[in-house]
Amino acid sequence: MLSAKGLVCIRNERILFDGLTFELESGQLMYLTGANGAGKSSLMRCLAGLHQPQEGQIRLFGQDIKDSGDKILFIGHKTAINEWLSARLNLRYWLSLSQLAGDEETLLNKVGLLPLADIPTRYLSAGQKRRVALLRMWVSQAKLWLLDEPFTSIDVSGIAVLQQLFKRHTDSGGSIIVTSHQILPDDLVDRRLELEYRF
Amino acid sequence: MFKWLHPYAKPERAYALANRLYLWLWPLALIGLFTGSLWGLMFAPSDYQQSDSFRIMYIHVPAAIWSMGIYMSMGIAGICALVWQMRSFELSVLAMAPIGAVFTAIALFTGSFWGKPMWGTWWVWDARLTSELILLFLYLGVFALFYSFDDKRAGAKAACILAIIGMINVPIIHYSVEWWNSLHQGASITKFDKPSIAKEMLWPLLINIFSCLLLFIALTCYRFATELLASESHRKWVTKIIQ
Amino acid sequence: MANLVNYYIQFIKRDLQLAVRQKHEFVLPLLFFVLILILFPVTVGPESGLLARLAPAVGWINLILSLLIALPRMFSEDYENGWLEQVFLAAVSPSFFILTRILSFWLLYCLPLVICSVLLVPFMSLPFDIWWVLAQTLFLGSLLVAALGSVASALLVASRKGSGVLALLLLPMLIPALIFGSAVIEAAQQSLPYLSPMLLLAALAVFCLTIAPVAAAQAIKINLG
Repeated sequence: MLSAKGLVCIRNERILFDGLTFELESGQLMYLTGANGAGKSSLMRCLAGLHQPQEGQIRLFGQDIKDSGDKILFIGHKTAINEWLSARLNLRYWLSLSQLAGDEETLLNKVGLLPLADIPTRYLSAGQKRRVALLRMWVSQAKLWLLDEPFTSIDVSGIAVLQQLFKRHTDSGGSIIVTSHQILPDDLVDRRLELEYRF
Repeated sequence: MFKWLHPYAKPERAYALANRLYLWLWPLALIGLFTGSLWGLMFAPSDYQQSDSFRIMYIHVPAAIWSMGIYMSMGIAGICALVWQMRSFELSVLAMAPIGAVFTAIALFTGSFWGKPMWGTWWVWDARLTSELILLFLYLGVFALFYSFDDKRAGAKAACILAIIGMINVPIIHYSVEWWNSLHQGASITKFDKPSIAKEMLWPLLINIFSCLLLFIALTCYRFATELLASESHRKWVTKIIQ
Repeated sequence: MANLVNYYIQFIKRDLQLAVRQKHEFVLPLLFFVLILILFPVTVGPESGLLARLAPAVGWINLILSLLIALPRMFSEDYENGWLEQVFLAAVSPSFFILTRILSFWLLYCLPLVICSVLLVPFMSLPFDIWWVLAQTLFLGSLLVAALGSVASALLVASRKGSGVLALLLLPMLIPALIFGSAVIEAAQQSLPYLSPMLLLAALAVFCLTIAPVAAAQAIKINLG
């Protein structure tokens, strides 16, 4: 469903990757690894259509990536959580931005944040903030998930929950690309892609 | 248009074209400017009202004409850059900006020097002078925007957007300033009408206007080629040229 | 259509909520506006005739300068926390989001300043009926500042260079608005009809409100890349 052909990405005079080509079928999880600065995040941003690669083509279901924003769920380093708004409002506004329906309370309950739903998120811990952001995975209708370091500051039990969620998504025909410095269990990973650091 | 342009999307072709244009136009522009200015300054008859001070016109008028023209061509290049996503157009916007700013500054300074003997003052809030001054700031905005980006490519694209907005704005500013000036006619010192001009004075002026255009194109090509080399410095074709 | 109206209301509500939670940011331009109003009589002297003559110009320039304080922050928070990325990935075109931001910016920053300009009446002995005309031009003019300012702010969202460059980008663009605005006031002061420059100002505002969201969306896209 996702195909990338001959991607070239140059950032600040440094070539991150040159002629990168891969394909991802539905139901697959791709585990993207590489050293710091190897270009993992840049590749994710290219795939999300936020950054335009200098050369090459990315197609999702045969369509140009620029026209298929709503088929993608992207959770990057920046979690789009506003520190001044409560978890409930953060979630509500993300839902209306994505034109999705969902009940904030049941969602927040899933990650155990219901008691903290109405205080500004700047009073939450880093892990709790990230949990609020990751709640989008429960409601999103997107086929392709692009998750850039989703496990950052998430505790062990949280990671287990996320991995179950990955499994559910791939089983229902969705695809996931995930970057992480965490080792993922082999039965979860269908494909691996390692980016080399280049000078 | 795109089919015709397509071969030049390749940077090495664009470089070759710019380089060739520069090599041809640069001497032509210099010869033209030399003859036009010499003719204008030495041999054209002096004006019966303004005596010799009108001769600054031979520099002032071409600079003023092309200062607006360069902004327009920058805007058009900016549109092309955003529509076709071609690096060459972005670079050409950046190549044109300083040249246009210098033309504008020349027009302002010579206008001011011309104004001193004619109006008795260095500056009046005449419509043309005012819109020329605003134009200078529009040019400076394009630089300032480009240099406030760390990433050159992003800076160039942002500069393109600004050039397009500026292009839409230049006529609005120009006509509103003219309208403003006509409201305050009583207060302003003189109405600067274009005087009808004798043929012997006109020829060198036309030569200079045309050579300034050539000069602009030549300088743009030169700057464009250099920028292209710098931005593609990691490519093979560049190393070949440099060696 | 109803969907879109809902969208506008939602996100204007979001901006208002954010403003309420960050009151300190939101009152700064207002305080600046009032301070400048004090500086003028102090520098040119308290003679009421001169002050009344200067008052409309002070109102306009003061409005623009005060908004320059608020403009750099128009998108910066949403850029830094990644919200804008989500906006660009959503199904609804980002231009709509930017239009809501322009409107909420206008409600939060411009409208209070327009109302605050009534202080020109006591402080600079501006006749009340002239202030009323001035307020109308400021109403339209501030829409224009918000629209064009959104583009300038969007262009500079990632650069953190502050309001210096923003002023350089924005001020030349505002000159037509200033010209029409002051023409309205001048006509009003001489009891002449001022409808035509007012309409020109309104036309300019509508024009800018139409193209600014598209241009600002492009600008933000570049900054996200």
